[in-house]
Order: sequence, then C-alpha cells, then structure tokens
Amino acid sequence: MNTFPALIKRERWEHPAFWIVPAAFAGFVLLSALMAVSTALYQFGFPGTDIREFAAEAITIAAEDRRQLLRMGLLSLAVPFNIFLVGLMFFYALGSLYDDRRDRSILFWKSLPVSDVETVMSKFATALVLAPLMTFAVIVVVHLLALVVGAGIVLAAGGEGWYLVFDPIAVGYTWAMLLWGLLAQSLVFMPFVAWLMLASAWAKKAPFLWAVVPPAAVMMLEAWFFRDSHLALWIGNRIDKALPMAFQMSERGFSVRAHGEDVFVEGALQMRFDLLWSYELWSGVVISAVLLVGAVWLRRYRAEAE
Amino acid sequence: MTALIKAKGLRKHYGTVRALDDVSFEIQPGRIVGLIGPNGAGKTTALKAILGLAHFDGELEVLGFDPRKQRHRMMQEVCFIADVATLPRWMRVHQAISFVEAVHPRFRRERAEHFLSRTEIRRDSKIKALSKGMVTQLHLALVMAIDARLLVLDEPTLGLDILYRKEFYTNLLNDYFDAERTIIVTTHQVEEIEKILTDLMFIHHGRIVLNEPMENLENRFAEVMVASDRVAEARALNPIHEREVFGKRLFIFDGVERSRVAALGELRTPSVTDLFVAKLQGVTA
Repeated sequence: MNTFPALIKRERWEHPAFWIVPAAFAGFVLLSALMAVSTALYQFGFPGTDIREFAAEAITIAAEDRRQLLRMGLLSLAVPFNIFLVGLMFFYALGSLYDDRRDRSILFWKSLPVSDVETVMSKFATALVLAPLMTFAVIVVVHLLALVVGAGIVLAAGGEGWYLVFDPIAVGYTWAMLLWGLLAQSLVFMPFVAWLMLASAWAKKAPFLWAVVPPAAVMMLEAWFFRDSHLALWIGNRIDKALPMAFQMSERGFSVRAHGEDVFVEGALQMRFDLLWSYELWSGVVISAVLLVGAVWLRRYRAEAE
Repeated sequence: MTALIKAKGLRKHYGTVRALDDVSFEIQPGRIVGLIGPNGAGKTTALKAILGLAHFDGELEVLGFDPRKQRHRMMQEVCFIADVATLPRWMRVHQAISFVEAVHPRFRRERAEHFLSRTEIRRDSKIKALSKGMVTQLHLALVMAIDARLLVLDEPTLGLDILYRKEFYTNLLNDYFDAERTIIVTTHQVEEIEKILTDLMFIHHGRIVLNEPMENLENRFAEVMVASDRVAEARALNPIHEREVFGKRLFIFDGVERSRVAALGELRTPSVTDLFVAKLQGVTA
C-alpha cells in the first residue's frame, strides 16, 4: 500500500495552482527582464559600454566575492516568489478540510479505507512541504534561465561569461539556502497552518471568517480589557524572531567593483540552524499537534450533521 | 450462518427528533436489503451509523468490527455510494482509478477498466464534464472493481433518467452480486428495485416497522378488492389498510390466512409501494 504518497498526489492533482501561480509570476518576471534588456540594447546599442565593462571587470573580482554577488542576485530574484507561496499556503489550508464537505465529495473520500489522521496529515504536509517544493522548482528554472541569458549577454560582449555565471558552488549554495529558508518558514508557520486547518474542518460556512475573526476578537478583548497584546505579540514574534534564527549575516563582508569603484557590501547572508532547537519551534510543534487533533476529530464527525 | 450486521438498541437523536429509536436488526450475508422510509425517517442515519460516519448509542457490529472504533479496518471490506455525484468534480477519470487503486487493497484495475469499456466514458475527461448518468456509471465501475463484502447504496440513482437507472441495477445484479456479498439500498423509486430485493425493511419515525424476507410477503400480506356489500365482513378481519379504488374497497391484511380473505374478492400480494403506504398510514378512509 502506498496510501500517503497517493494522498499527496491527489492534492497535487487538485491544486495545480501550486505550480501555475509561481510559473505565471516567473513568466511575468522573465518577460519584464527581456523587455528591459531589449530596451537597453535598443537605446545603447550592443554591446553597450556597461556590459562590456562588466564583462571585463567580472573576471577581476575575487572568486569568493563574485560568488557572494551571484548568490545575492539569485536570492533577491527568489524573494518575491515567496509572497505568492505564502498566499497559496494560506488559501490552501483554509479550504483543505472545507471544500470537499461543501461539494459533498467527502462522501466519496470517506468510502475508501483512508483514516482521517492520514487525510489531515497529508493536507498538512501538502501545505508545508509540497507547496514550497513546487515554488522552489519554479525558482530553480527561473534561475537557470536567468543564468543562461546572463551568460549569453556576457559572452556576446566578449567576456569570459559562462564559467563566471555558472558557478556550481555559488548556485548550489543558493539553492541550499533557498530550500532551508522555505523549510524554516514552514516550521515557523506550522501552528498557523494547523489553525487554518482547524477552522477549515470546523466551518459550515465561511472558513475565512472562522479563521480570522476569533483571533482578531481575542486581540481586541485583550487590548480593551487588559491593555495587553499577548496573542498579537506571539504571532509577531514568530515572524520577527524565528526566521532570523535560520539566517545570519556573515562577519566578513565583500567588495564589488562597479563603474571603476570598489563597493563594499557588509556581511553576507548565511544559514544557521538555531531554529531547530529553539523554544519558538517546539512550542509551535506542540500547539500544532493540539490543533491537528481537533481537526482530525472534526473531520471524523463533521459530515454527519448535513 | 453468522450475521453480517448485528444492531441492537441503536439510538440517536438530533435535538428532540429521534432519528433512531431503539433499532435492532440483523442482516445476513448474500442478501439485498431494501431500506425504505419517508424522508427524515432515519434511513440515512441508520446507514451513517453502519458506515461509521455518525455517533450513536447502542451495539453495532459490521463484519465483526465496531464502526465507531475500527472504521478504517472495516472500510477495506465495505463500499458505499452515497447519493449521486459525490465523485470530486475536479478529478479526471484516470486519476480516480489510480487513486482508488493506490489506497484500496481490494481494488482490481482490470475490472474497473472492463466495466468502463462498456461505457462512453473517456479516461482523460474531468468528472465535471461527464453527464450525471456517466458519473454514476463511473462510480459503479469503481465500486464493482472492489472486492467488498458489504455495499451500501444511498439513493444511488436519484435524478438519473430511466435508462441509466435500469442499467445500474442490471449491472449490479449481473456483474457484482453473489452469495458472498450483501447490498443495502435505500431509494425512493421502490418499484424499480422491488424485483431484486431479498429483504424488505421499513423504517418510520426512527423505528423499524417491518423487517421481512421478500419470500414471506406473499404468506403474510394479502390485498383484496372487496365489493361494497362485503365491506363489513372485511373490516371484521382487522385490515391494516383500507382505501377506495374504482368504486370498490381495497383492503390489506397482515397475518390473516389467505383462505379466509380469498372469498371476499380478488386476492393479490400487495406491491411494496402499497405495503409501504399501508404500514405508514395505517387504516385510513
């Protein structure tokens, strides 16, 4: 039996948005970049002075600095994709245990020997692992295309392009950082996703309101009656404090030559793994477990009142 | 022979409404049981209890399992089609086949393919693009490809046109049903399944008002058309139902010897529909 992979595959079939949304955004990014490049070529001719200078200077930069530069470029290209990913995760979790009750297909799923624990866990894993991996795959494709275009331009400008750009150490490290970043984000967001799934399993209508109104009400009551904001702080802290535990700035900065001048960049982003044994992570795991037990229980019996 | 389903003292209420009021019954293997009742009588609640989809009080054993605690294990040998069109609309036909194959140890893909090859259903169609009749054909093909001991059908042909309805039950009888399997079916179209049932169960206000093998109906119930001058004689035999048809009076008797009522007029075995009305309405003018 391979129930769990089949359940994950089912989610992938049901939600092509996991790759369509980042792919559409990637198309938009690549198209904008091509337009920018072609405009520049039209205005300044080819190869322009800038490109020729860059091609000539790129080789003079120390290998380690060049890698840092490449990493920064590739990472900043990846960041906007994460905004879409977070949106996808949010709406997926919100509908995960609600949509099939609304269209009654839950009666089909429940006619098969799949336990509610397996179902709920497959959806939890889909939000936290499958969705980020699909976005990661799209980003990798975007990176490769960007590198091909970049190398092509440099080569055409007479520089020794391709080996500067296709630096396996830099590219590989970037991808490792991206994967770790996405995983860290999922670890931090775990209780949020579990909460959304609980609201999704609970709601007979409007899961969005069930997900948003209770925490908002708690925050307001806290503020009015106790002049306090534990919940808001707790949520804010997860985002502010937990993610920095996955990355740090290196002590050693690097310098880059641009337009004949040295530009010094202070520090470079590095991975760190303090998150894995942090209070923030493990309290989140415990809270998620409690919320998921509730979601499983609701999944078991919520269909009955129809 | 051990019963496939043993229910004893099932109770369930929604607020003040008793959906199941001390219900007890047994279902033997190799039977096709028609569970008949008006809307809100408790049919669906009874089925949900059997399928482990609802809380209830009382003792219930399905294939030796407690549906409340061992649902997961039980569902390997139980199939159900609840209502029409519960197949997920976004799924493609080949995905539905692959999914069931992956999660169900008793599913045989060749059988599903065989049943589907008799239909016009294309493997790459999305379910939402299929007609209602085709969705039912697909669902039935998936279910018949599972080697299960109990099949529960809750209004499986609701809203289908007559050709599909007929074909549904024909396929079920010819290609699926055998002495090892049991089918429980609820439907509003009683006339259509009357001939395939082996057992009849009426449920009303959460109680079982009739539970009888079909072959016993003939001995137990009699329907007589009585001319107006012998009505008093008929009434004296405690009919369970009486109504006027074409100027004559029609009586239904329960447990009265046929020889005693045969003299009163034209004697028949009541249809399931008439019996249903008789049992539920009782004696009305």
